[in-house]
Amino acid sequence: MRQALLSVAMGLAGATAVAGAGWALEAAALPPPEHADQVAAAAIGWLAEHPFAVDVFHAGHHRLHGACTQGSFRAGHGRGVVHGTLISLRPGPVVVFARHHQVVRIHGAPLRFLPPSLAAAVGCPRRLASTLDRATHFGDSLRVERSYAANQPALKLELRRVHDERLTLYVSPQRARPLVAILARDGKVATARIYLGNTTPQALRHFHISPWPNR
Amino acid sequence: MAEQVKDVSRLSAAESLARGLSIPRPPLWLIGSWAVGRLAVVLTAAAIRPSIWTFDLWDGRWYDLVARSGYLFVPGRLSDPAFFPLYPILLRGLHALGVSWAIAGPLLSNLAFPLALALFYALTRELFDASLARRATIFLAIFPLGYVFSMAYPESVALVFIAAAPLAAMRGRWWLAAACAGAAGLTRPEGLFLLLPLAGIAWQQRRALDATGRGATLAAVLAPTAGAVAFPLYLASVLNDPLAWTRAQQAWHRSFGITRIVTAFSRLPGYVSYDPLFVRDIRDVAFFFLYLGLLVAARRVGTPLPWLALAAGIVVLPAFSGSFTSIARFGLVAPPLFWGLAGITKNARAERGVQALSLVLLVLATLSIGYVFP
Repeated sequence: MRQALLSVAMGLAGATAVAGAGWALEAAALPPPEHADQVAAAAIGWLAEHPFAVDVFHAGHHRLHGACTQGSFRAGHGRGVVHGTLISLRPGPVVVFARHHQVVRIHGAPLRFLPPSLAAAVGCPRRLASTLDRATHFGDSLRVERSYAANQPALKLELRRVHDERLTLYVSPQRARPLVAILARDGKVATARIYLGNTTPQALRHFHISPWPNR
Repeated sequence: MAEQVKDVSRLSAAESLARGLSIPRPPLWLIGSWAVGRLAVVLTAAAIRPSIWTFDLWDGRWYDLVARSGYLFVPGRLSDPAFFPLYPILLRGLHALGVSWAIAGPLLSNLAFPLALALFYALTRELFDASLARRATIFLAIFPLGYVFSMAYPESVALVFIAAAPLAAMRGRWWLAAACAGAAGLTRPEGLFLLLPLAGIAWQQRRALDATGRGATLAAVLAPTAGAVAFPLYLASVLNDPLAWTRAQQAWHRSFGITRIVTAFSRLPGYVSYDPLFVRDIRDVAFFFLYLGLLVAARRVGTPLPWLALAAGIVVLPAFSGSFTSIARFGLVAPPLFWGLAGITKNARAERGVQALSLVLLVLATLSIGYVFP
């Protein structure tokens, strides 16, 4: 009996040593994630969880509302259904960014001071998530610092300039919920106050969004 | 036997390592089949794109990312906690020795593969006759999916440990077996299944072991799980999320459940599409059924049941994640599949036929590097 207990104790001690050595090896050999990457990952989590957002855009001296969502939409005028990211600006156009860089304008004329592509890049959750996700794959392309935005303390997450584009995202300090995004591209700057939420029929009607019903 | 086991406990660590994993001088045919297989892979890859980057594609990029920057879980997106840590740790070690990131992965895999072949041969010799061991080793060296052994993937390193742990155990070096089994569990999830053959070997040796020996045996049987558990423990300490591996797998559309195998089969018709990835999907389904056949063949040549259970776990369990994707690659670290293949090619003509077919498929599969995922 005593010998059996000794064997079990040795076996368990050996297995614990293996687990401990494995953990120690990982902890010693692998670098911990950067704080900026962790903040970006948490922000991506919010953006992935909420594909629908209502935005308040500022571009030039203009201020306008918009909404962004993902899914399938009636293209209108007998053009069938398009799938992708839809952005609706009020006042302004309703545009769907479909796969293979296809852009389908459902109605309304584009705004000179806020092109739909710029509005989508700064105000659409999935677009922002993709941009942040790409940044997490390249070392030191993200910087984080304490700041203030949307009338509250925030973390300022800055993406390294890529070509002529610079994105700054302000997130809540505790849980990294996205608050404000600023995107400078091609000499134009757009700011979006982002309100992540759930799709409601009223919001869809307000922003002239006609989703194609799921069957 | 008890005498022998006691003697072993008095050996120094270095002596134990040397004796536990001592392998006969590699025969010429082993070196030849390794060289032929690698030449086929390297020349074909060079024909597609004459660059080392050919072998650093796909998952290699993720291992590279972990090695450079550590783990980061990104909810809802593809992220690196889906990849086990020992391979990127070894990449980091190579890089610290001055090897560039681009070369580290292919270099490590290509260095580990001949060692894996030699250990696999020694293990097979312990279980079967020399003729079957020779055939099985040659098939492993030129197996169609074997181009992965040259890429920045952990399969060749995992195979080293999966062959070394039971080999050491069969020779009574249980602490060494525990170390190798723990390393296997830290390299690939398939390493977990090593507990089955190790438990089988422990059962066979139970009468020859004293209390200390039995303790070492238990440690070795638990070691694959202990090695694998070290990964979520580490993820908990750096990401505050011990389940990051499981959640990262979900982004790859993998989530385990009893009924998910039905999902995997129900998706089959959807595999036929104009998407180039359908070639990969069809291949994985074909290899799934081939592996099931090879399991039956392995049973017929007298493969011990725990080994069959290991191979069945490696081949069948991934289908319970709702997808057949990558099963062809997972099977590379299941030795019984190659024992089964060797079992159905006792006839010299059949052996040569399968070898020729294997080489042709190896070249074609290597060509696919440019188009689809492994």
